[in-house]
Amino acid sequence: MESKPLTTRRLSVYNLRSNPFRTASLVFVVLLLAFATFGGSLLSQSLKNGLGSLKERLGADLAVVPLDHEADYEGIILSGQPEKFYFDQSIEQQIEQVEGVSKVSSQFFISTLAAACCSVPVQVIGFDPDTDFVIQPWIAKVYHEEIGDGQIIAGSDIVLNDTGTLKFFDDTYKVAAQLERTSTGMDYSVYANMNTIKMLVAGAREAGMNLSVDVYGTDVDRSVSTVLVKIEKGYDADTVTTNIRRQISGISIVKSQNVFASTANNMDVLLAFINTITLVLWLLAILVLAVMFSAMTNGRKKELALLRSVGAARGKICGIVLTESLLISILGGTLGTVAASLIIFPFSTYTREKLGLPYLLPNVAVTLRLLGMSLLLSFASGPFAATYSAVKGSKAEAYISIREGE
Amino acid sequence: MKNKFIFGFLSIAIGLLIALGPLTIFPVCGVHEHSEEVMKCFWTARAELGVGFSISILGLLSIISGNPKFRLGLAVAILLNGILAFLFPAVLIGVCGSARMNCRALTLPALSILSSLIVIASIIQAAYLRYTNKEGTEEHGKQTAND
Repeated sequence: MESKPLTTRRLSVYNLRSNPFRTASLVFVVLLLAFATFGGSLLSQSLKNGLGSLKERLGADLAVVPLDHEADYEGIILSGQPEKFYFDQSIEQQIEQVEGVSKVSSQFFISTLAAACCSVPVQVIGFDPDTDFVIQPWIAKVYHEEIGDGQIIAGSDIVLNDTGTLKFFDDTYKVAAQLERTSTGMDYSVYANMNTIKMLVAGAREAGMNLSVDVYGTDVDRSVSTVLVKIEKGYDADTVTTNIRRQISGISIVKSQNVFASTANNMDVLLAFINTITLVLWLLAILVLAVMFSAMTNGRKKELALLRSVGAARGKICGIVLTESLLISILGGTLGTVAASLIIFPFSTYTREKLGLPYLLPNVAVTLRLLGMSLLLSFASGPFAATYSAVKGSKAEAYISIREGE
Repeated sequence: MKNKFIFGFLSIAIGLLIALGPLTIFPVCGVHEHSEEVMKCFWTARAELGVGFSISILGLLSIISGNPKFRLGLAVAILLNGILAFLFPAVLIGVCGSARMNCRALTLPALSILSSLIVIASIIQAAYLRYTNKEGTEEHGKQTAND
């Protein structure tokens, strides 16, 4: 049989192999720690990204909607929940005249069912390319030409046909571009200019599909769903809201800062919960590891003393215990981050749906940074928890330890 | 011996999850809410029911069988079934068209992960059995020559 030098690493590996149940338990503790650290940090970062994206998405300072439709509008913005409500287009001109208003742009909403099977209603948002200041900055990120009649822009979570088209009411529309993910209702919406909206409504009428597009009673040429308002510098949202209310009746006003603030408040509670759970799990894991390593070292007193008696230095004994803990940490940390990745990344849409909050996964660079930090923390946790036991084990007197219990 | 049980029980567990998961833990949409039309994901769940039970039965046979060559064949069969379990929702039948529908947001990733796991496990098992069989055959051959 070939003899191999008894290095620190080899001794540690033999020790770990000799007690697979104990090793598996320690690996599992580090796995939980790594899972909580990487999963928790990814979740927190995704929520923060989502909030940032929502701030950008809101674009306008105020949204004027028909009376009592504030919640519907917020549903469209936050989750893309299909809604339809209309008021007279002349309101847009009236708002434009109000003191403190810098820009206005109207939008037209219809909800529809894709003609193909297996789809949910889609929110279609019609906008005026000449006045729009909310949608086009997002479109410009992926599409640099003017959107023609019959063309549509799809949100990131709209699943396209193989031919890059979408079919509504027996008519096929070319998808000019698909937007980047925003983690807001934008991802589930489809955008088009007003001419395309008219084509869509005509198509719905021809197909006799009035169930999902309730626009029979609405004159598309004279109706809008919302008027988005940009406030002039030097004015605040409350003042302009009061000015608009004084001049126009039968409307509701949604303040973007309120939508953002209420989402941020909800998110703060969740973030605090995630951070607390992660911290508690991390502390518990360190405590459990420290106790287990201490018990392990106590149980191996004689073995370590024998190694001392055959010439192993204190540093060597210390090294064996620390190497074992490092190997356990590497295995557990890697498995934990893999497990977290398998849950966080593939199920991101589901998580977002269940949370009901803006949720945007971080980009590759940030993900790698979080991964690096989580792995570093997990890899360090074992040696950190085992340091005391390692030093204690190496300091024990060999003679006393060997004779102990006799 | 240990790996026979680990791989066998893993196959049974993953096979059952593939078969019953789309009907229980990570359910598909099934029938359309408005049109009452049977959706694509319904047929995917049906296909997964068959392929999942097939993986479980092959896993059970893998535990019962003592012949390494037979177990190698079973590992290859599980591998092929695993590939099918992956392809049904992703390519061959598919799931519904909207990103926020249950079958796309939940069932598809769950089935992809489970089928990938069983494919990886069966590749490792097949490679292990092939390696150990080869070693055994070579040693046996040498012994015969010396005799």
